[in-house]
Amino acid sequence: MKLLPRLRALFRQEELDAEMAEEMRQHLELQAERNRAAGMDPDEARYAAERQFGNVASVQERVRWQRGWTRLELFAKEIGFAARALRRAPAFSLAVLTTLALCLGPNVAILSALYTFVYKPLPFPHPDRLVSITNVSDRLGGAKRPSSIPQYQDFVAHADLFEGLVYFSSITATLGNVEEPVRIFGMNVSPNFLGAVGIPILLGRGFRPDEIQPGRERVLVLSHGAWLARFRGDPQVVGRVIRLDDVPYSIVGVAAPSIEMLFNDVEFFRPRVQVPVDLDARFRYSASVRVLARLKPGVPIAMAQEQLAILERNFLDSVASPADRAKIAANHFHVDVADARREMAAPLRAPLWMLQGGALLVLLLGCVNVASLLLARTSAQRQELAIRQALGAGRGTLLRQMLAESVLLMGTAGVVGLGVALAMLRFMNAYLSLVVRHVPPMELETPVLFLVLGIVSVLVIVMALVPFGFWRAADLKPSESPHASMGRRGRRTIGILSIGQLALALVLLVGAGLMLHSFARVLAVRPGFDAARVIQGRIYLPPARFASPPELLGVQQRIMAALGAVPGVDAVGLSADFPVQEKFNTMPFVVHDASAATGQERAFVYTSGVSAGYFATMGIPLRDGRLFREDDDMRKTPVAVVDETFVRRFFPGRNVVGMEFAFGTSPPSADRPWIRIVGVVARANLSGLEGRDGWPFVYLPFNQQATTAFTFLVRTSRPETDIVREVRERVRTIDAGLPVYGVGSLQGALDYLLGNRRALLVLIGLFAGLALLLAAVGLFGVLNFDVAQRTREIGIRGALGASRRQILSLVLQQGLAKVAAGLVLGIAGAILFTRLLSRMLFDVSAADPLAYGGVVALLFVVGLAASWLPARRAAKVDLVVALRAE
Amino acid sequence: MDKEKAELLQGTLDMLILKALQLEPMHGFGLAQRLKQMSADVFQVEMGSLYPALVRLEKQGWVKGEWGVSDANRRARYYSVTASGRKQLEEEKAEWELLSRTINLMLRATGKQET
Repeated sequence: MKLLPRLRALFRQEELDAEMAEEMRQHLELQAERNRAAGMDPDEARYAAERQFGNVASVQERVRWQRGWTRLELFAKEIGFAARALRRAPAFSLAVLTTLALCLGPNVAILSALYTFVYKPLPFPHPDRLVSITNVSDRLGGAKRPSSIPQYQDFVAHADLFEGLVYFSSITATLGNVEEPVRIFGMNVSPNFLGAVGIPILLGRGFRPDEIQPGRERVLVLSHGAWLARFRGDPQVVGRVIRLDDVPYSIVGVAAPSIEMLFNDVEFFRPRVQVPVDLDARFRYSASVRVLARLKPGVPIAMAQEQLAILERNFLDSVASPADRAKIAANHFHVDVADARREMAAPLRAPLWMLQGGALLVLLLGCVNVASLLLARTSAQRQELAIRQALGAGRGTLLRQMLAESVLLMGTAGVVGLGVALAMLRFMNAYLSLVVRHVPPMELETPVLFLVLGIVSVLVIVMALVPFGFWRAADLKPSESPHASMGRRGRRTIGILSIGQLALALVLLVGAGLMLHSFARVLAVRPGFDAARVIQGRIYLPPARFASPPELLGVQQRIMAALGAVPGVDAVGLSADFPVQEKFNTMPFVVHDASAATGQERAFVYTSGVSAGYFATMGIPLRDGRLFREDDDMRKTPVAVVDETFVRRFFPGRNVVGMEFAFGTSPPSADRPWIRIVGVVARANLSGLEGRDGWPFVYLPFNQQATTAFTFLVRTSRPETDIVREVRERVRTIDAGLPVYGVGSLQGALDYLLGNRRALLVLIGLFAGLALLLAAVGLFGVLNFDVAQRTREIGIRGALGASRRQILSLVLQQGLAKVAAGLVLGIAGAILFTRLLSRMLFDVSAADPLAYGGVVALLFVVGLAASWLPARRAAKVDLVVALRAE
Repeated sequence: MDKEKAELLQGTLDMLILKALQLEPMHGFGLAQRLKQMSADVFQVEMGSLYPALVRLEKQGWVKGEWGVSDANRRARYYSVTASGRKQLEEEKAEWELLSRTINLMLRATGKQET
């Protein structure tokens, strides 16, 4: 009952006011009547009545206040007033809106990326207790390697500071039951994985502990995404049988969506079947599974790591053989416990924060521009402000007015900025899905929205205080001419702000310039192989059907022969792994001849298993010795071919053909022979153009390693689509169940490896471009405003004899002086900040003269252009108009 | 009058208005005259207090305002007490009586313990 009349009152204000006015009028009439009856004459009676009543307006105010909506009403009126004022200055409002929206958009987008990839808590219960356990080898450069089942079982048995230890490994499998066999991603997990990590089961059940025994592991739990996409959310899916790698698996359950945040394209979970080596404690460092665990409540990570270190020491002291002990000590393994979220986010944290820094700089530039615009507008309103002040407007009233305008402007800019951010996010998601696997798409999430609200609120307050501060600092008089200039202090502040903008823009531009130059240098690196004419594809041979090495080799030979028979194919080669990828198998090695030490502190090589025809197919020329022959199979001595970098880096000036070596950090045991180098080939940058200075390659014969999946390479001048079609057909005739996947040209693979660098360049370039635009607009605005303010002064100068050219050069000088100051300041800042970029530069120093020179020239030209128009305007000032009396 | 006193009087004024209106529904002018008369000219209520008080009482639903015709055929807004207003008046009267009795008792205290 109390709220309802109040709400009704809100909507009937005018009506109620009219009623109240009439009521009081009647009251006065009655009082006047009473006075007349008491003997006063009509006029006196009227005055007396009014006196007795009191100030009518004041009473009405108090009644309105009682009605209760006054404060809200007042503010709504202020907003309405502000809206009308802004509508009357469309250029100003539009400029502010556009500037801020363009600056807020990228910030919100990158904040979303930071949240999704780095800071969003994992969707599992108590995510802060989830840790990742790895083995770190200091000798291998601090690289984190996975754990193993024996090590895991040791943890389970003795590490009581943990609860819920699980292991998993990512795998790909071929999904049968479809026309075109397709490769899908999944996880081999420990039986307690789903329960311990905290992934709820939607349908059916999880795994039982006995399901890692061979024969009982043919069960699957589907991920939520796979359930929806491949089985259309069928509620009867539990119990269905599907074929993975040609083996039937029974679906026992469906998981709720939560693993998608870590591994977006996981489609199934499968118990990792136990193999004999799992129970052999000596294989502790075989790096086969990743271990996650939950810390018991209140246990700090350092304490848990200590406990695991003790377990490792126990292992070394009691179980490890002396040889193992030596090897482990040589590699300096220690166990590392790290927060799981941080581990996942680690590679992205630094680049994303760098981008956020750039975006914040751009926002700062935009705010400076907006502040200048506000100052200019307030100066133009000085007469109005002075009159209001004279009429009694207090500090509070004027501040409220400026706040109302600020709320409208910043609020609208925030909304539009969100729109820009959404567009950017959509673009970024599309790009990411092409470049990176396993990432969930980014969305505008609630914490980010709250942060944006906070930023906008800060902007509202700051942008209200700017005109308020100006008003307080200025000495306003109503009689002052509205054309009076702002005063030197105001103009100087705006001028200094403009110089700051130019400096900031220069810093960003130098960063972009350095990245651009680096990119050009990377592209200038010769691949060392004929990427344009080689097409790759991968084939998987299910172990169920091709179990023994002779069977594997046999089908590989048949495939090679079939591919060679395709018209237009010049050469065919095979590679065990992907021929072009970022990370190859990295191995340390030792040399048989003790005198031929490598002379290097750390000597590693990339290894790649390739067929005899590989080098010809890839177009890698031979430099010394010979290439592989088809008969370099497993019966003969193991051989290898190395590249030029191997020779240059480890044995400069020596002949390595005939040299023997072995992988590892110590000489091989008696049953494993040394490997003999039979040839040297030219350097091929198979780890990408940026990997030019990476480890040397050691090629091993394909025939000496049996693999279940391999890559075929065909050299051809025919278009890719034709070749691919024919290849698929030929493979299908050999065996219909062999999936062919990962098809593409090697040039595409090389480009893919440049994806990160390209993305970074685009983003930094975008920020630098925005910064330049903002700084140029800022400079133009400042000079323009200045000319407008000094119209009379220019008129006087002209009347005193200054030529148009002299006036033109006056303004130009002013503009160029600011540009020069900005350049000096900016270069100093750039030298400081580009040190942060040095890790990402390629063949380019942080003080690259080309980048700096180019940017300075660009800024100079842009500054000149921005100064030109106002200068011309000054020169065209009509002296008569300028000197006209007020 | 300082703020503290004004607040105390605000509650008391509401109660007195309810009492006056209970005797007879009146318009604002009449109410002011009646209050003056009832208090033997001691309380001369200001319009800046009276009208807001009427709005307050209306919001609470203790008083209802209606446009009517006065004697002399004038349009005037008449205020009358509602049923819940009557109940409120009784409650406030009881509270006031307790309050004034207690204060009077305390003012008469001599320092000696009375049995």
